[in-house]
Amino acid sequence: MSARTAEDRIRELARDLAPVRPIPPLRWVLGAAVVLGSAAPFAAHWLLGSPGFRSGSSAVSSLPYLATFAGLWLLALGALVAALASCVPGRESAARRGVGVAASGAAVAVVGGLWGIVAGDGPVAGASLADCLPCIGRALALGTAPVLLACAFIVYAAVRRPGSGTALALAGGVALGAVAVHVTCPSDSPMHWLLAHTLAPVVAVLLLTGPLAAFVASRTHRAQR
Amino acid sequence: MDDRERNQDERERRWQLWMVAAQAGDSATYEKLLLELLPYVRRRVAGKIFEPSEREDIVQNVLIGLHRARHTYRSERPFGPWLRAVVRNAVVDWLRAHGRRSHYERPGGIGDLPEPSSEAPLPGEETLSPELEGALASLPASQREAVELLHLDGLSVAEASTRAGVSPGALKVRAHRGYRALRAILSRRGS
Repeated sequence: MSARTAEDRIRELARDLAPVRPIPPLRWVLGAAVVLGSAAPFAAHWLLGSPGFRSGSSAVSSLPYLATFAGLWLLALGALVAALASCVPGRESAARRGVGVAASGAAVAVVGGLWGIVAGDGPVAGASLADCLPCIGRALALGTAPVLLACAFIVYAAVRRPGSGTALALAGGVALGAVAVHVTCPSDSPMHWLLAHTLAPVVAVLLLTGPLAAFVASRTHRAQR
Repeated sequence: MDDRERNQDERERRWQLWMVAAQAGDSATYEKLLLELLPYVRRRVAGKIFEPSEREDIVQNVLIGLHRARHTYRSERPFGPWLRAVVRNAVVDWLRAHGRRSHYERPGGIGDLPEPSSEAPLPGEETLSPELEGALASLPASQREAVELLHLDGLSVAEASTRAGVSPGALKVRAHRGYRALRAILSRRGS
């Protein structure tokens, strides 16, 4: 049992009180992350000459293509909402809804890709590692800004489990990057959409959650000191 | 709306205003808020923890959790759900740490730290000798806090690191340095 009473502790906390800035509203942070993620392909196109928006292909209006696009959007929004809300006390229900939306989005994207493959809507090419790696890399690069923004919020707010918060931020941010890749990649292959675009967030979560969560945890300890 | 509901609404509005003042650095209002929250927090903790001797520790963990998370409260949102979530999180964290301690640590143990020598008989001492109290007071604040949390308050490393707001490893290092400094101070005085 503690030697101090709760009343002693209260006096101590009140004596050491420092002014704090309240966290920004979640929708502002979410909006900023989406704007950053959406602006990234434009910036990459203008500054680095990366591929612009694709056009002139019937595959763009096919249902599997649109399902992959919509699924990745839902995955991005849901995972980012869950990442941000999970570190604010009292917003647990928003976090749970976000996880539900993200899971639905992932399912829609995967089903869309599989549907395209089974229906033979396009060539089953572009599925080699050499074809997929550039798209996965671009999704990671284009998702960097929203991931970092979400992680900065996680550090500033009251994160209790850096691992899950960081994994959700990675999934959401890289899914935004994957949306950008999906609308600029010239491939018409549903297999490529599935392996290179839809799986990019999964690859990011598997590879980067450990180191990024460790970094977030160390910054969180430092911020609380 | 009956009187009870009206009173609850007024109380919650008052807590909201006081928390906003606390966020701006008004320590008198903050103390008033925490003192008024204390019976409520005790009731909530008592509803979740059956062991009376452990409740007071958890109540203090809740107070520290509330202090650390005070910037996550936004005035346009209701205060009650935020407060309940802070209480719930503190209780869950405590139960997790407690479960881990019972599985992996000896009660009151501090893992792989060397035991303090006979010159610094901290473990199990109910009251401190004036000499030891003086030596403790001369330690840097971070080392003193680590030694006090582990040995005077009898917390596990996990609980103490949560209280101090540092990683368990950092807390062990601070405590180790504190023991070394205590030994040096006490042996200097002894010789």
